[in-house]
Amino acid sequence: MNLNLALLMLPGLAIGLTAHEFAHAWVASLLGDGYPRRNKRVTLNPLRHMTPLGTLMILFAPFGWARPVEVNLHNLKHPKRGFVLVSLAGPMANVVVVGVCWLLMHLTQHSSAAGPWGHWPSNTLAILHAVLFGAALLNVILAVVNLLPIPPLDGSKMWLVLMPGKSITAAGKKGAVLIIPLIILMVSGALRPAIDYVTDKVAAVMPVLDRVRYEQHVKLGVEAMGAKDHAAADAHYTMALEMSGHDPMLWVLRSTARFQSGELDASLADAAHALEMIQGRPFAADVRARVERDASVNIHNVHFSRGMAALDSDATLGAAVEHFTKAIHALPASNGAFFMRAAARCRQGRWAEALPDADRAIEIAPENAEYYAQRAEIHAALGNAQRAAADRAKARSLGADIDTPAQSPTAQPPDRG
Amino acid sequence: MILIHWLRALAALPFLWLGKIALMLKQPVAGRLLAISWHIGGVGQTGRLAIQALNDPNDPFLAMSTAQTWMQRCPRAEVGAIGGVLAMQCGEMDIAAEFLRDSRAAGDDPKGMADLLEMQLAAHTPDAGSYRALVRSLSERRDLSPNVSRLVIAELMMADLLAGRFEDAERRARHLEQIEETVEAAHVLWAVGEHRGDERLARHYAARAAASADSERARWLCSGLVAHVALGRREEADALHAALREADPALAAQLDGLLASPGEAQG
Repeated sequence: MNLNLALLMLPGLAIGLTAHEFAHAWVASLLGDGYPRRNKRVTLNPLRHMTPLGTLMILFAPFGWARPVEVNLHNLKHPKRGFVLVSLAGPMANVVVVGVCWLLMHLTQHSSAAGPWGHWPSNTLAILHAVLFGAALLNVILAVVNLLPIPPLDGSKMWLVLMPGKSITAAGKKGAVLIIPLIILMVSGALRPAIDYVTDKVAAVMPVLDRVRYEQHVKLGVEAMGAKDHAAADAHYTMALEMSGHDPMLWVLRSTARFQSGELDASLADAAHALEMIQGRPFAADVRARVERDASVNIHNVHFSRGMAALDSDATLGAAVEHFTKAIHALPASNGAFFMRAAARCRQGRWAEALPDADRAIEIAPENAEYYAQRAEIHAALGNAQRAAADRAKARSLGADIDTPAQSPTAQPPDRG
Repeated sequence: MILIHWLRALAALPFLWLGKIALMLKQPVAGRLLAISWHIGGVGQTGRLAIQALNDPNDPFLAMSTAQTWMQRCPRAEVGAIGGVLAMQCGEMDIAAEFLRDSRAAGDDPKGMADLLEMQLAAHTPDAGSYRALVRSLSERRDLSPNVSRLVIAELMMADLLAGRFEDAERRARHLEQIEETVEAAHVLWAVGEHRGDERLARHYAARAAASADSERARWLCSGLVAHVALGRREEADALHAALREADPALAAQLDGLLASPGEAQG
């Protein structure tokens, strides 16, 4: 077993084994048996219950054990009934420990709100939750395994009720042969599915620290984006943002997810919010740079998409120019936006205004044949035949089929990502 | 402190396991292995096992001396108790009483070995009254170990039978029967069946008692004898008494004291 994991599990197992043995001793004591008290077992001091070898095994094997509590049944008024009660007290104590873990986790799950700059402050609480979660699962396992009706486990004591006429010792001797199947069950892992089923059910109802839920949603959001499930990514990011909206990068991530889902207004709002967040706030330079870059890309992409849509109709060419202008404002090095704004202006017949955009597009991406073809057409329209011829020649040298229209309002946008 | 204790206990474990296996196989090396484990771990129960394994039944004096040495070096209730039993076997009652005192002073005694030694010592005194008083005082305690409780209950059952308190004896026997099937309880319930004329009950428990006739000969003879005396069957009782004197003279002598004054109330 991983040593870190073992150390994380150790408190839970120590608590579980101690509570288990204490419960046996305590119930026996309540029923009138003073023997466990004489042996100093009616105590919550783990050292009274743990054994050196059993504890060592916890660290190096997937199990451990404590010193069993000896009960003097002669002191019980009803030995059989008393024995069953004493035996069941152990697993019940483990169930109580699970309940206490749940309660503590429930009471503290919202207590570590994210700090003003998106940092979750309490590592201690996160570790405590991990320990409590581990303790709950270990105690479930202790309760379930101990309730198996196989000697020497506590659940086997139920047989004594079902075997009238037989003494406890005689029934115990008869059941002792079942120790072998128990060992086989444990070693072969045949018990694993049943234990996993119960632990999964319990794990599902254990309260989770906001910080952990937040991190889970962010992780799931990133995974959903990778799987191109943008709606799911949007949902996960939204849930994470509901817990803490202090990380501007998370707004950018949701903006991206929403852009990919076609929710352009929402995407724009998220990106704008992310940019607003970093204004005048002491974020690290690399975080600031990344937010600025990615948010700007998203704003650009939204406007570019809208500009492209507006190019569909001559009536909305003005709006297209406006959107491409906003895209250029968000991302001044967007050759695609310059190219498309030039195309829109060409269709409006505003050739002189289109020329600087065509120049800028070529300046940013000098190896794009389409850009030269577009500028050739603009020069031709402005009566600069020589420049038009030069641009055509350049476009041809870059592989353009010059007979096809040099520019098209339906040209593909640049990479949106 | 606890870490050192645990490390010692862990280091002693292999020798304990090997010693127990050797003991099961009746190998002479068992005593040595258990003694090593005792010296490393200092666990009283291991010390007792080691002394028992080292003991030569024909010469218990040597094992008793070992127990004395060990008690001086590392006093443990269990070692003191087995030392006391060996002292009794050597006929050294004063030394046995000393062992009892040391055993009590040694502290933790989870198995109640000192209580057992005290019972044995009291049983060997000529005054049956002091033994009865001890059993009575033990019966009032709620913290006895199971083996001491079992002995005390058996003694109380026998006393009830001899005093003609069949209902009390039956109540104790039935309580004991829920926990374990003993030859004493079987004889008591047989006697109760005979006393009431309940043939089915008598037959059932006669068979149960007979099953232990060989494996637990002395106890079977002893409890059978008491049951026959309680039912007034002198001939059968005399035959059993003779057999008991042959099988375990000390137990027979002890029983004589009890039979001499059967009427005292107990428990």
